Amino acid sequence: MAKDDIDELLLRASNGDEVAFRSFYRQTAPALLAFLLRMLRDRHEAEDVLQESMVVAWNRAGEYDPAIASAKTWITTIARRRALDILRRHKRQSLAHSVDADDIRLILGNDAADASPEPLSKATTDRLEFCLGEIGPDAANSIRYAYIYGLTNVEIAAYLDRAVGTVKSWIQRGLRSLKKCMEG
Amino acid sequence: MNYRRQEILEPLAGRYVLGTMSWRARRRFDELFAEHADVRAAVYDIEQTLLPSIWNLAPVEPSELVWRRIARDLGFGKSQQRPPSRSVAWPVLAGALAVAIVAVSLGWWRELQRPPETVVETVVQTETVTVEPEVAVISDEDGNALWVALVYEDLQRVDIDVTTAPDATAVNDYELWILAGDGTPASMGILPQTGQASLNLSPVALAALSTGNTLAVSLEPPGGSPQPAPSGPVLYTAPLLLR
Repeated sequence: MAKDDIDELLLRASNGDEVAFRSFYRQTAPALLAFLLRMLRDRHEAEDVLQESMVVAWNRAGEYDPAIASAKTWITTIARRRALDILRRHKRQSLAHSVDADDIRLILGNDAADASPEPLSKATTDRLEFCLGEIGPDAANSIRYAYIYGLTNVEIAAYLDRAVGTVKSWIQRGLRSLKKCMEG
Repeated sequence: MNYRRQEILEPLAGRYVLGTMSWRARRRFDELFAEHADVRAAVYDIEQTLLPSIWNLAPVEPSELVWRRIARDLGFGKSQQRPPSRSVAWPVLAGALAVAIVAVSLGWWRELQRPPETVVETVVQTETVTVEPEVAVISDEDGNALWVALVYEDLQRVDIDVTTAPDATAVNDYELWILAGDGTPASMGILPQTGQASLNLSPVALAALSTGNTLAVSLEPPGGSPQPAPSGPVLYTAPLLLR
Protein backbone atom coordinates (compact mmCIF):
# COMPACT_ATOMS: atom_id res chain seq x y z
CA MET A 1 0.00 0.00 0.00
CA ALA A 2 1.45 3.33 -1.01
CA LYS A 3 1.74 6.40 1.17
CA ASP A 4 -1.18 8.08 -0.54
CA ASP A 5 -3.37 5.09 0.17
CA ILE A 6 -2.90 5.53 3.91
CA ASP A 7 -3.85 9.17 3.48
CA GLU A 8 -6.91 8.01 1.57
CA LEU A 9 -7.86 5.56 4.31
CA LEU A 10 -7.80 8.37 6.85
CA LEU A 11 -9.88 10.58 4.60
CA ARG A 12 -12.43 7.80 4.21
CA ALA A 13 -12.43 7.33 7.97
CA SER A 14 -13.21 11.02 8.35
CA ASN A 15 -16.46 10.27 6.55
CA GLY A 16 -17.35 7.53 9.00
CA ASP A 17 -15.93 4.54 7.11
CA GLU A 18 -15.14 2.05 9.88
CA VAL A 19 -13.62 -0.49 7.51
CA ALA A 20 -11.20 2.12 6.21
CA PHE A 21 -10.29 3.09 9.76
CA ARG A 22 -9.62 -0.55 10.63
CA SER A 23 -7.27 -0.73 7.62
CA PHE A 24 -5.63 2.53 8.68
CA TYR A 25 -5.08 1.01 12.12
CA ARG A 26 -3.60 -2.18 10.70
CA GLN A 27 -1.23 -0.21 8.48
CA THR A 28 0.00 2.18 11.13
CA ALA A 29 -0.33 0.54 14.56
CA PRO A 30 2.75 -1.76 14.42
CA ALA A 31 5.07 1.13 13.59
CA LEU A 32 3.45 3.37 16.19
CA LEU A 33 3.75 0.70 18.87
CA ALA A 34 7.43 0.17 17.99
CA PHE A 35 8.36 3.73 18.88
CA LEU A 36 5.88 4.01 21.77
CA LEU A 37 7.58 1.03 23.39
CA ARG A 38 10.94 2.71 23.02
CA MET A 39 9.62 5.90 24.57
CA LEU A 40 7.54 4.43 27.38
CA ARG A 41 9.35 1.12 28.17
CA ASP A 42 6.08 -0.45 29.16
CA ARG A 43 3.95 -2.50 26.79
CA HIS A 44 0.76 -1.99 28.74
CA GLU A 45 1.22 1.78 28.75
CA ALA A 46 2.37 1.86 25.12
CA GLU A 47 -0.74 -0.04 24.01
CA ASP A 48 -2.90 2.30 26.09
CA VAL A 49 -1.39 5.29 24.30
CA LEU A 50 -1.89 3.56 20.96
CA GLN A 51 -5.53 2.99 21.83
CA GLU A 52 -6.06 6.57 22.99
CA SER A 53 -4.31 7.94 19.91
CA MET A 54 -6.51 5.92 17.58
CA VAL A 55 -9.65 7.07 19.37
CA VAL A 56 -8.46 10.67 19.02
CA ALA A 57 -7.61 10.01 15.36
CA TRP A 58 -11.13 8.75 14.62
CA ASN A 59 -12.75 11.62 16.48
CA ARG A 60 -10.53 14.23 14.82
CA ALA A 61 -10.16 12.66 11.39
CA GLY A 62 -12.32 15.45 10.03
CA GLU A 63 -9.47 17.88 10.70
CA TYR A 64 -6.95 15.90 8.71
CA ASP A 65 -5.67 17.78 5.68
CA PRO A 66 -3.34 15.81 3.38
CA ALA A 67 -2.10 19.08 1.91
CA ILE A 68 -0.50 19.97 5.25
CA ALA A 69 0.79 16.62 6.48
CA SER A 70 0.79 12.97 5.51
CA ALA A 71 -1.43 10.66 7.51
CA LYS A 72 1.68 9.08 9.02
CA THR A 73 2.93 12.46 10.20
CA TRP A 74 -0.48 13.33 11.55
CA ILE A 75 -1.01 10.15 13.59
CA THR A 76 2.62 10.14 14.73
CA THR A 77 2.23 13.67 16.06
CA ILE A 78 -0.87 12.64 18.01
CA ALA A 79 0.79 9.56 19.50
CA ARG A 80 4.11 11.24 20.32
CA ARG A 81 2.42 14.19 22.01
CA ARG A 82 0.49 11.82 24.24
CA ALA A 83 3.55 9.70 24.99
CA LEU A 84 5.64 12.76 25.82
CA ASP A 85 2.94 14.05 28.16
CA ILE A 86 2.99 10.75 30.02
CA LEU A 87 6.78 10.62 30.13
CA ARG A 88 7.05 14.15 31.45
CA ARG A 89 4.27 13.65 33.98
CA HIS A 90 5.94 10.51 35.33
CA LYS A 91 9.18 12.38 35.69
CA ARG A 92 7.56 15.37 37.33
CA GLN A 93 5.91 13.12 39.87
CA SER A 94 8.75 10.75 40.52
CA LEU A 95 11.74 13.00 40.25
CA ALA A 96 10.34 16.37 41.27
CA HIS A 97 12.23 18.05 38.45
CA SER A 98 15.53 16.69 39.67
CA VAL A 99 17.26 14.37 37.29
CA ASP A 100 20.81 13.12 37.31
CA ALA A 101 22.71 10.43 35.49
CA ASP A 102 21.54 7.73 37.88
CA ASP A 103 17.95 8.49 37.00
CA ILE A 104 18.34 7.71 33.37
CA ARG A 105 16.13 4.77 32.66
CA LEU A 106 15.83 5.01 28.97
CA ILE A 107 17.66 3.45 26.16
CA LEU A 108 20.13 5.46 24.19
CA GLY A 109 21.27 4.81 20.69
CA ASN A 110 20.15 4.66 17.14
CA ASP A 111 17.93 1.90 15.85
CA ALA A 112 18.83 -0.05 12.81
CA ALA A 113 16.50 0.42 9.90
CA ASP A 114 14.36 -2.63 9.45
CA ALA A 115 11.50 -3.70 7.29
CA SER A 116 8.20 -2.38 8.56
CA PRO A 117 4.80 -3.22 7.04
CA GLU A 118 4.75 0.18 5.41
CA PRO A 119 8.28 1.60 5.41
CA LEU A 120 8.99 5.03 4.19
CA SER A 121 10.81 5.13 0.89
CA LYS A 122 14.41 4.03 0.93
CA ALA A 123 15.38 7.33 -0.62
CA THR A 124 13.80 9.22 2.29
CA THR A 125 15.42 6.98 4.86
CA ASP A 126 18.79 7.16 3.15
CA ARG A 127 18.50 10.91 2.93
CA LEU A 128 17.81 11.23 6.64
CA GLU A 129 20.73 9.00 7.50
CA PHE A 130 22.96 11.02 5.20
CA CYS A 131 21.80 14.29 6.74
CA LEU A 132 22.21 12.99 10.29
CA GLY A 133 25.75 12.12 9.29
CA GLU A 134 26.26 15.61 7.95
CA ILE A 135 25.27 17.38 11.17
CA GLY A 136 27.82 15.51 13.27
CA PRO A 137 27.52 12.71 15.82
CA ASP A 138 26.82 14.90 18.86
CA ALA A 139 23.85 16.67 17.32
CA ALA A 140 22.62 13.55 15.53
CA ASN A 141 22.73 11.41 18.67
CA SER A 142 21.11 14.10 20.81
CA ILE A 143 18.26 14.44 18.33
CA ARG A 144 17.85 10.67 18.13
CA TYR A 145 17.84 10.32 21.92
CA ALA A 146 15.15 12.97 22.27
CA TYR A 147 13.00 11.95 19.32
CA ILE A 148 13.08 8.18 19.53
CA TYR A 149 13.50 7.66 23.26
CA GLY A 150 11.93 10.79 24.68
CA LEU A 151 14.94 11.87 26.71
CA THR A 152 15.05 15.42 28.04
CA ASN A 153 17.93 17.84 27.55
CA VAL A 154 18.98 17.22 31.14
CA GLU A 155 19.02 13.45 30.68
CA ILE A 156 20.96 13.64 27.45
CA ALA A 157 23.44 15.99 29.06
CA ALA A 158 23.83 13.69 32.05
CA TYR A 159 24.37 10.68 29.84
CA LEU A 160 26.86 12.40 27.55
CA ASP A 161 28.47 14.19 30.47
CA ARG A 162 28.08 17.55 28.81
CA ALA A 163 26.48 20.81 29.90
CA VAL A 164 22.75 21.12 29.33
CA GLY A 165 23.34 24.29 27.34
CA THR A 166 25.70 22.43 25.05
CA VAL A 167 23.10 19.78 24.35
CA LYS A 168 20.45 22.41 23.71
CA SER A 169 22.75 24.10 21.28
CA TRP A 170 23.56 20.85 19.48
CA ILE A 171 19.89 20.06 19.10
CA GLN A 172 18.86 23.50 17.98
CA ARG A 173 21.63 23.88 15.43
CA GLY A 174 21.32 20.25 14.43
CA LEU A 175 17.61 20.48 13.70
CA ARG A 176 18.12 23.59 11.63
CA SER A 177 20.88 21.97 9.61
CA LEU A 178 18.95 18.74 9.31
CA LYS A 179 15.93 20.49 7.89
CA LYS A 180 18.03 22.37 5.36
CA CYS A 181 19.81 19.19 4.36
CA MET A 182 16.55 17.27 3.93
CA GLU A 183 15.16 20.04 1.78
CA GLY A 184 18.33 20.37 -0.24
CA MET B 1 7.02 37.89 22.20
CA ASN B 2 5.44 36.93 18.92
CA TYR B 3 5.89 33.19 18.97
CA ARG B 4 4.61 32.88 15.45
CA ARG B 5 7.44 34.72 13.76
CA GLN B 6 9.12 32.09 11.65
CA GLU B 7 12.58 32.51 13.17
CA ILE B 8 11.07 31.94 16.61
CA LEU B 9 8.44 29.42 15.66
CA GLU B 10 10.76 26.99 13.92
CA PRO B 11 13.09 26.29 16.86
CA LEU B 12 10.13 26.22 19.23
CA ALA B 13 8.42 23.66 17.02
CA GLY B 14 11.60 21.60 17.06
CA ARG B 15 11.77 21.61 20.83
CA TYR B 16 8.07 20.78 21.01
CA VAL B 17 8.43 17.79 18.69
CA LEU B 18 11.48 16.52 20.56
CA GLY B 19 9.78 17.07 23.91
CA THR B 20 12.64 19.17 25.26
CA MET B 21 10.50 22.13 26.31
CA SER B 22 9.73 22.85 29.92
CA TRP B 23 6.36 21.64 31.14
CA ARG B 24 4.93 25.14 31.28
CA ALA B 25 6.19 26.07 27.82
CA ARG B 26 4.83 22.82 26.44
CA ARG B 27 1.34 23.57 27.79
CA ARG B 28 1.48 27.03 26.22
CA PHE B 29 2.64 25.59 22.93
CA ASP B 30 -0.21 23.04 23.06
CA GLU B 31 -2.57 26.01 22.99
CA LEU B 32 -0.75 27.62 20.08
CA PHE B 33 -0.79 24.26 18.26
CA ALA B 34 -4.54 24.03 18.70
CA GLU B 35 -5.22 27.61 17.71
CA HIS B 36 -2.95 28.33 14.76
CA ALA B 37 -2.54 26.51 11.47
CA ASP B 38 0.96 27.91 10.95
CA VAL B 39 2.06 26.46 14.29
CA ARG B 40 0.65 23.07 13.36
CA ALA B 41 2.39 23.28 9.98
CA ALA B 42 5.72 24.03 11.66
CA VAL B 43 5.29 21.04 13.99
CA TYR B 44 4.31 18.72 11.14
CA ASP B 45 7.29 19.96 9.16
CA ILE B 46 9.75 18.90 11.86
CA GLU B 47 7.89 15.67 12.50
CA GLN B 48 7.98 14.85 8.80
CA THR B 49 11.73 15.46 8.73
CA LEU B 50 12.40 13.01 11.55
CA LEU B 51 9.70 10.49 10.70
CA PRO B 52 11.94 7.93 8.96
CA SER B 53 13.90 7.40 12.14
CA ILE B 54 10.87 5.86 13.84
CA TRP B 55 8.79 4.56 10.96
CA ASN B 56 11.53 2.21 9.92
CA LEU B 57 11.90 0.62 13.33
CA ALA B 58 11.08 -3.06 13.42
CA PRO B 59 7.29 -3.14 13.80
CA VAL B 60 5.60 -4.53 16.88
CA GLU B 61 2.17 -6.06 16.48
CA PRO B 62 -0.28 -4.83 19.11
CA SER B 63 -2.32 -7.42 20.95
CA GLU B 64 -5.76 -8.07 19.50
CA LEU B 65 -7.26 -6.48 22.59
CA VAL B 66 -6.09 -3.02 21.50
CA TRP B 67 -8.33 -2.97 18.46
CA ARG B 68 -11.18 -4.51 20.44
CA ARG B 69 -10.93 -1.70 22.98
CA ILE B 70 -10.79 0.92 20.23
CA ALA B 71 -13.83 -0.57 18.54
CA ARG B 72 -15.62 -0.71 21.88
CA ASP B 73 -14.76 2.91 22.74
CA LEU B 74 -15.91 4.13 19.34
CA GLY B 75 -19.05 1.99 19.27
CA PHE B 76 -18.07 0.20 16.07
CA GLY B 77 -20.42 -2.54 14.98
CA LYS B 78 -23.27 -1.04 16.98
CA SER B 79 -24.95 2.25 16.21
CA GLN B 80 -23.01 4.27 13.66
CA GLN B 81 -20.83 6.83 15.42
CA ARG B 82 -19.40 9.24 12.92
CA PRO B 83 -16.41 11.44 13.66
CA PRO B 84 -16.95 15.19 13.87
CA SER B 85 -17.68 17.11 10.73
CA ARG B 86 -14.66 18.47 8.89
CA SER B 87 -16.03 21.99 9.43
CA VAL B 88 -15.76 21.92 13.24
CA ALA B 89 -13.54 24.75 14.47
CA TRP B 90 -10.17 24.03 16.09
CA PRO B 91 -10.81 25.89 19.35
CA VAL B 92 -13.93 23.81 19.98
CA LEU B 93 -11.98 20.64 19.32
CA ALA B 94 -9.11 21.87 21.43
CA GLY B 95 -11.46 22.37 24.34
CA ALA B 96 -12.91 18.90 23.87
CA LEU B 97 -9.42 17.46 23.62
CA ALA B 98 -8.41 19.22 26.82
CA VAL B 99 -11.40 17.68 28.58
CA ALA B 100 -10.53 14.30 27.12
CA ILE B 101 -6.93 14.60 28.26
CA VAL B 102 -8.06 15.51 31.77
CA ALA B 103 -10.47 12.56 31.71
CA VAL B 104 -7.79 10.20 30.48
CA SER B 105 -5.36 11.58 33.06
CA LEU B 106 -7.88 11.01 35.80
CA GLY B 107 -8.40 7.51 34.52
CA TRP B 108 -4.66 6.93 34.51
CA TRP B 109 -4.37 8.27 38.04
CA ARG B 110 -7.23 6.08 39.21
CA GLU B 111 -5.56 3.12 37.58
CA LEU B 112 -2.59 3.77 39.82
CA GLN B 113 -4.86 3.93 42.85
CA ARG B 114 -6.54 0.59 42.21
CA PRO B 115 -6.08 -2.05 44.87
CA PRO B 116 -3.50 -4.67 43.96
CA GLU B 117 -6.02 -7.43 43.29
CA THR B 118 -7.72 -5.28 40.68
CA VAL B 119 -4.42 -4.58 38.98
CA VAL B 120 -3.64 -8.29 38.91
CA GLU B 121 -7.00 -8.93 37.34
CA THR B 122 -6.27 -6.34 34.67
CA VAL B 123 -2.92 -7.86 33.87
CA VAL B 124 -4.47 -11.29 33.45
CA GLN B 125 -7.26 -9.92 31.35
CA THR B 126 -5.03 -8.03 28.93
CA GLU B 127 -2.32 -10.69 28.80
CA THR B 128 0.42 -8.10 28.79
CA VAL B 129 3.68 -8.14 30.67
CA THR B 130 5.05 -4.97 32.20
CA VAL B 131 8.80 -5.10 32.42
CA GLU B 132 11.50 -2.50 32.21
CA PRO B 133 14.76 -3.52 30.63
CA GLU B 134 18.15 -2.62 31.89
CA VAL B 135 20.18 -0.96 29.23
CA ALA B 136 23.73 -0.90 28.03
CA VAL B 137 25.08 1.07 25.11
CA ILE B 138 28.16 -0.63 23.72
CA SER B 139 30.34 1.97 22.07
CA ASP B 140 33.69 2.05 20.32
CA GLU B 141 36.65 4.07 21.52
CA ASP B 142 35.34 7.16 19.72
CA GLY B 143 32.03 6.96 21.52
CA ASN B 144 30.05 5.73 18.52
CA ALA B 145 27.25 3.44 19.64
CA LEU B 146 27.62 -0.03 18.12
CA TRP B 147 24.95 -2.08 19.86
CA VAL B 148 22.22 -1.27 22.36
CA ALA B 149 21.45 -4.15 24.70
CA LEU B 150 18.10 -4.28 26.50
CA VAL B 151 18.36 -6.86 29.25
CA TYR B 152 15.07 -8.32 30.43
CA GLU B 153 16.07 -10.38 33.42
CA ASP B 154 12.48 -11.40 34.20
CA LEU B 155 11.97 -12.58 30.65
CA GLN B 156 15.38 -14.24 30.62
CA ARG B 157 16.42 -12.61 27.39
CA VAL B 158 18.41 -9.74 25.98
CA ASP B 159 17.29 -7.78 22.92
CA ILE B 160 19.99 -6.31 20.75
CA ASP B 161 19.68 -3.36 18.40
CA VAL B 162 22.60 -2.83 16.05
CA THR B 163 23.26 0.87 15.70
CA THR B 164 26.46 1.02 13.71
CA ALA B 165 27.29 -2.20 11.93
CA PRO B 166 30.70 -3.52 13.00
CA ASP B 167 33.23 -4.49 10.38
CA ALA B 168 31.10 -6.22 7.78
CA THR B 169 34.07 -8.13 6.42
CA ALA B 170 34.92 -9.71 9.75
CA VAL B 171 35.00 -13.48 9.54
CA ASN B 172 34.74 -13.74 13.28
CA ASP B 173 31.73 -13.38 15.53
CA TYR B 174 31.22 -10.84 18.27
CA GLU B 175 30.18 -12.51 21.52
CA LEU B 176 28.38 -10.75 24.34
CA TRP B 177 29.28 -11.50 27.95
CA ILE B 178 27.93 -10.53 31.35
CA LEU B 179 30.57 -10.16 34.03
CA ALA B 180 29.42 -11.47 37.41
CA GLY B 181 30.20 -9.50 40.53
CA ASP B 182 33.49 -11.34 40.92
CA GLY B 183 34.40 -10.67 37.29
CA THR B 184 33.61 -14.16 36.00
CA PRO B 185 32.22 -13.92 32.45
CA ALA B 186 29.14 -15.75 31.26
CA SER B 187 28.14 -15.79 27.62
CA MET B 188 24.91 -14.10 26.63
CA GLY B 189 25.20 -15.13 22.98
CA ILE B 190 26.48 -14.02 19.60
CA LEU B 191 25.77 -10.42 18.67
CA PRO B 192 24.05 -9.66 15.38
CA GLN B 193 25.98 -7.52 12.90
CA THR B 194 22.88 -5.99 11.37
CA GLY B 195 19.31 -5.39 12.44
CA GLN B 196 18.02 -6.73 15.70
CA ALA B 197 18.00 -9.99 17.63
CA SER B 198 16.73 -11.52 20.84
CA LEU B 199 19.10 -13.77 22.77
CA ASN B 200 17.75 -16.19 25.38
CA LEU B 201 19.80 -16.15 28.54
CA SER B 202 21.20 -19.36 29.98
CA PRO B 203 20.95 -20.12 33.70
CA VAL B 204 24.67 -19.35 33.96
CA ALA B 205 24.17 -15.92 32.40
CA LEU B 206 21.18 -15.21 34.64
CA ALA B 207 23.21 -16.12 37.70
CA ALA B 208 25.99 -13.76 36.61
CA LEU B 209 23.42 -11.07 35.87
CA SER B 210 22.10 -11.26 39.41
CA THR B 211 25.43 -10.00 40.75
CA GLY B 212 27.12 -8.25 37.81
CA ASN B 213 26.47 -4.99 36.03
CA THR B 214 29.01 -4.95 33.19
CA LEU B 215 28.67 -6.29 29.67
CA ALA B 216 31.66 -7.13 27.51
CA VAL B 217 32.13 -7.98 23.86
CA SER B 218 34.88 -10.23 22.59
CA LEU B 219 35.99 -11.20 19.12
CA GLU B 220 35.59 -14.93 18.69
CA PRO B 221 35.76 -17.61 16.03
CA PRO B 222 32.49 -18.24 14.17
CA GLY B 223 29.93 -19.63 16.57
CA GLY B 224 31.55 -18.14 19.61
CA SER B 225 34.21 -18.97 22.13
CA PRO B 226 34.96 -22.71 22.41
CA GLN B 227 35.40 -22.25 26.14
CA PRO B 228 33.20 -20.72 28.89
CA ALA B 229 35.20 -17.48 28.77
CA PRO B 230 36.41 -15.19 25.98
CA SER B 231 39.05 -16.87 23.83
CA GLY B 232 39.72 -13.74 21.79
CA PRO B 233 40.33 -10.11 22.69
CA VAL B 234 37.75 -8.23 24.73
CA LEU B 235 37.00 -5.25 22.53
CA TYR B 236 34.37 -3.33 24.43
CA THR B 237 32.74 -3.12 27.85
CA ALA B 238 29.64 -1.22 28.91
CA PRO B 239 27.82 -0.78 32.20
CA LEU B 240 24.18 -1.69 32.65
CA LEU B 241 22.26 1.40 33.65
CA LEU B 242 20.37 1.41 36.93
CA ARG B 243 22.06 -1.56 38.56
